[in-house]
Amino acid sequence: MIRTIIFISIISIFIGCKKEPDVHIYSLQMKLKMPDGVSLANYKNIQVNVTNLEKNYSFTTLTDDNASIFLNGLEAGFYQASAIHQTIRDNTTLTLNGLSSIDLMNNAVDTMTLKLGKFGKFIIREYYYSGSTNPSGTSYKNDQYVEVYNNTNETLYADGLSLIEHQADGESDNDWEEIKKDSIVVEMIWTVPGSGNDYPILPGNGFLMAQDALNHKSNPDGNPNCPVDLGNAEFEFFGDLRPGKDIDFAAKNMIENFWVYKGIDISFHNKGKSAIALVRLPENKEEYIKHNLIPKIFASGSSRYFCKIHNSLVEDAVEASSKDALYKRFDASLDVGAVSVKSGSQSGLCIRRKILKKINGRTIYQDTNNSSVDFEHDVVPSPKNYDL
Amino acid sequence: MRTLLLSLLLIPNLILYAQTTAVQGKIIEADNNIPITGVLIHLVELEKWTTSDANGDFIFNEIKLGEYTLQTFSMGYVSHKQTIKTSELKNLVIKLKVSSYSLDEITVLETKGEELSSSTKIGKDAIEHVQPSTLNDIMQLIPGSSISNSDLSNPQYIQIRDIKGDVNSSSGTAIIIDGISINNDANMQTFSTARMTTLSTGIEVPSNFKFPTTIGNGIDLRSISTDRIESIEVITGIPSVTYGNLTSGAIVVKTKSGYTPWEAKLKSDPKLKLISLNKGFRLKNGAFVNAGIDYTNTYKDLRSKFESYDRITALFAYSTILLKDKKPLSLNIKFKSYSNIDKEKTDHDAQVEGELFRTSEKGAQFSIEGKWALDNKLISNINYNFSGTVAERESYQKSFRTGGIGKISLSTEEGENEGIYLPSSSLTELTVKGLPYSFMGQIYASKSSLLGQSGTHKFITGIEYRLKGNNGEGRLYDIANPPSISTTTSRPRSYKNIPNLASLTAFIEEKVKIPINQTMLNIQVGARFNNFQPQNITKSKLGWFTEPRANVKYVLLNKKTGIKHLAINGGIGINYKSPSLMYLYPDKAYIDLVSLDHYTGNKATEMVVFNTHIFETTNSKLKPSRNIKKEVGLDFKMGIISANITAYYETLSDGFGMLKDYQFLQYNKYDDDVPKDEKPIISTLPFENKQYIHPYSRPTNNKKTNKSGIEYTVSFKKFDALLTKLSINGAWKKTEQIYSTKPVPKLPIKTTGGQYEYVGMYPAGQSRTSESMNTNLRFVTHSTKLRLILTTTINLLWYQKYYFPYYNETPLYLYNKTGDKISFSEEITDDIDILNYVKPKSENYYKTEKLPFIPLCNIRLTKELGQNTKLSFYANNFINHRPLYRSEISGSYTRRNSSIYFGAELKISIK
Repeated sequence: MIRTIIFISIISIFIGCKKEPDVHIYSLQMKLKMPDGVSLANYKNIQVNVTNLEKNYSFTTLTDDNASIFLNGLEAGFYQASAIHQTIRDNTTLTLNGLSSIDLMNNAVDTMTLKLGKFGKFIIREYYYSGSTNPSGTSYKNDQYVEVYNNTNETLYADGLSLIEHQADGESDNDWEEIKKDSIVVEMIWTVPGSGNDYPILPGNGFLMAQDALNHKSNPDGNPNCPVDLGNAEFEFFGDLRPGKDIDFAAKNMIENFWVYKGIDISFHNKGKSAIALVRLPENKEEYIKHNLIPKIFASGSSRYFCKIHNSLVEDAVEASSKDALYKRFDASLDVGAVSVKSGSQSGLCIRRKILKKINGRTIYQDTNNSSVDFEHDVVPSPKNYDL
Repeated sequence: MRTLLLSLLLIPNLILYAQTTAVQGKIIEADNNIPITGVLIHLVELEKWTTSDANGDFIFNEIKLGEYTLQTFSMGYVSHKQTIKTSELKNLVIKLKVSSYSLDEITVLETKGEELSSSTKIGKDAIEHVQPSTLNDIMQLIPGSSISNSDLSNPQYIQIRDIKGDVNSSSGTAIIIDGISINNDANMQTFSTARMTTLSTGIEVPSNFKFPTTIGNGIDLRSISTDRIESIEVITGIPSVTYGNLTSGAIVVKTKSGYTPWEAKLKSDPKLKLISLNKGFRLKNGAFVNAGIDYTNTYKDLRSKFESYDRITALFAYSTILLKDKKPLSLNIKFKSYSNIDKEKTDHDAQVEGELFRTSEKGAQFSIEGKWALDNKLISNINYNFSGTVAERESYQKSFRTGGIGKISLSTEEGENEGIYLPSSSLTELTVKGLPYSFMGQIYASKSSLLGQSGTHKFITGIEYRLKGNNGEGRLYDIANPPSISTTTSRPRSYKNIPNLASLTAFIEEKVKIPINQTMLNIQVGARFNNFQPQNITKSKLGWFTEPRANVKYVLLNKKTGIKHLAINGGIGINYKSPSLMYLYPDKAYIDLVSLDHYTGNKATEMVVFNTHIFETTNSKLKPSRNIKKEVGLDFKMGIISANITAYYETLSDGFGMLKDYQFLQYNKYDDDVPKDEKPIISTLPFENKQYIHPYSRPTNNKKTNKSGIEYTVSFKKFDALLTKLSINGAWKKTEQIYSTKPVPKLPIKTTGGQYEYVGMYPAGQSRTSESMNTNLRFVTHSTKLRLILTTTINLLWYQKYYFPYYNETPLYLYNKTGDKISFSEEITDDIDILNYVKPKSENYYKTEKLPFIPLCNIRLTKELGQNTKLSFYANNFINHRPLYRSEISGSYTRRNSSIYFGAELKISIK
């Protein structure tokens, strides 16, 4: 017995003496490349944010005169660098966005191509996906909605504006990584009805696309814990796949153009896996969809057709993501960042765009194509309250 | 063959004119020469039997001169078997040894059954050594089975020659305990059969019904206590005609009856606790009374005691032999009652509180069986067996219905009807009360006699009647507050009006043993003639089905030296299993389509109108499932080795499944232009006639499984120096499971809005092929001095693989309401909308998943302490070898082998 104890002790001593792993330190040099046809007066002091994805810490650095950053003493690992820069040209604000991943295994020299972002006319102001909790503790998801806002100084028409949901969930590989810089691949397209000028939206105004246009808060059939009244929502999603399930409330129904996971009603992932965007498809949407179907074959063996939409048709995109999301779905020109409700599902909280400024009582929301900075998260849904 | 016929003709003559003598002897205890009373003595060839009297004496009169096998059985003693010759027939002294680990005869391994076809016998010492919680744990002794941790948190089903669980295989295995055929045929515990789908591995019930149910599957093995088992015989080959209503095989369990001391047992492992108490009394008149009770409690996860399974079983048995002196009549009465509760409730700490899912069952089983040694010219014995079971099964779920404001039709009649709106969240209750009962009666006569000098024959013929039904109150819930809402929903249904399942069977079998020179030919030929769902003796609802069965064994060598024994055997047989209650009398399908949806949030003005369609989902063409078994084998004994190898091929066809039936429904959709503060008047509203295609599930015979394989057992004599015996068994198995032998209709989802007008008809034959090969090495170290047995098992799984043979995903044709068929060709696949009808599989899907070699080591130890105590211990996968495997098909990782697990058992006997 004693011999066994001695033997085990000796073994453990040897195991205990195993060498600590070396910490490898490298340097990184990265130059920012401007989009074609864009030149800046000054390339100095563009902010670049670098994140170590493995250990989840980040720091900010500034470019030198050559639009380059130089970092020394970085530990080996997987990093992500992002840059945002806004400049004014011909009286309009241009947003330049860049995103780059670096697997740092050696001293590295890299470039990051910046892309010209689009200043959305219609923007997503609030996106409430987390849903609320019934008094019994069960989940209530019927109160989900998206609020769209006219961020310009002219009247816009909601007619024909479509809402899409990206196919990937952000938690696993984005199967569309290869085509990301040109296109997004979506699993549903719902469009505001109207012939072109039926639904005018004045500057500084918005409209709601609700799952169910009901006063969820006060209706006894609803949920007293729900934070919102959507009884006056302009539009709602109405699924008629199964006659007998979804209820057709008073709001105008959105047009179902494309819906792969057809169910009783649309439902955004309440942990935030649904990244959404506003798009304007060509007049003949059916034709466009038919000619842009793209198959995906799942590991289980089944396959489905999704729809590919060119990035140029995207008006505004929000990379809503769950807390654990790792994989970017939108290209940097659409949304360089990501945002999520940290309190999680059933929290009754949402994400809302920050106010940039107010001009004559009209609120202008911040739109730098970076949802990480443009959005506040974990806020109480306040549809149509443009003081917030 | 001519010899056989000739022999059969000669039988009566042989009996009439043979010279006779008497076999007489005394049975005493080996250690102290005290006579033993109540020992059962068999003269195998003549099927004669008697018991020893108070002085240990026994006698068989009028025995023809010849060579016989004499066998004795008595609880607590080692069974004795000897061959006697005419010259030794008188004053036999048989010494029986008290069963104890100090004897070399004790075996903790399975033995090959004595039948001509594949069967395995497992005795009480082997069972005790396994330390089982369910029958599944004992099944690991069968060649080719894998070893996993015993788990009582989920239903356990029997698997015979399976690689993966299979509903038709488990429900097609007859489990017979003390003559009681335990079955799950009258189970109706579900919300609606019209919404069920069958998978190859099980029945899928809609996910909102979470109460545990075993509907459509085999018996849940957890409900069977393993505590008082005397012996188990697992028949995997072609069974005798006395076994029926099965396809895969039979498991015959005998519980203890006879004198035993008080026995208390305590078993514990990390998830399970078992306590039991048993005793066998000898009454003054020589009869025995056995009584026992056991209780088991188990949790799925010890850290959160919210999913549990409790079982309590009590047994009372009375066995006696009447008319002892002349023509003995054995009478065994067993009465068993049990109660089990399978429960899951929501964690109080979780957000949702108060949900509860529970299935409980209280049951009683009764049997009376025995035989009467008429011992006359025509009949040796009359065997009788009458049994009945009844159970009160209750599934209960208390759960929240969520998912938005609902609307529901309350109508149980077809046509338009006004429904109601329901709040978005509500606490609901659903109870399914089943009262399954069964009765079985079997009576058969047998005649055994010698055939010439050393040949024998046995002829049996008999009848059997089975009846099963369910008299439960059925599905009970508030129709205005259902547990979930769906277009095909259910309605409460009482089971009291469901007809019974019945079968009437006659059977006949002849078994002969004919010596041919030095060799011996054994033939067993028989048939069962079944009338399933008889209306009377000559009329049948489901039809007449004949099950011919034959086994042949030819013993080429049987001597004392060299190759001691060499025999070949073969068999072929057909088995039928009649459909269970759920397949024969399924629920109606109710499809509620909304004609008007005028929600206002105000009861005075809101209005919802449904158009309800009701369909009977019974299938008049349903027939029993059929399994054809074929096998050949070789027995071999030489030196220290005895070996057996069997190759088999089985085809189970017409297996039960559910197939979708699409209906093209018409209904009026009313325009709801009525202001929200007014109640619509439906007769004034304009409407549009619309079509909606909706499926429901209908029972059918569409499953097919082919099983083939080779099973082998090699055992070596004990190496005395090491006190160890090596036994090797294993199998190579292959199964092909065909998901549907009938074309499968499917309606793909139209992703661009609305619904397609055509239903696609897809080809039959989608399948899965699995294969595995294993070898089980068992080292049994038995020290008679220490009275200790240690078994080290090394299970070598050489490989396991499966793949999905190529299946054409293109529909055969598309059809619409009027029955127009569009043949599906490559050209029309250019139409994007049509693309959704074809779902090509990924290349990965057709890859072969081949899991490489993996060993698994287990140990079991049993030690006798003193006179009265036995201590057992086991450890599964004690080296905790659990490598990760990356799936070729899905790319995901799984951990192989079950986790390290251990348990102990203490048994105390009080004399």
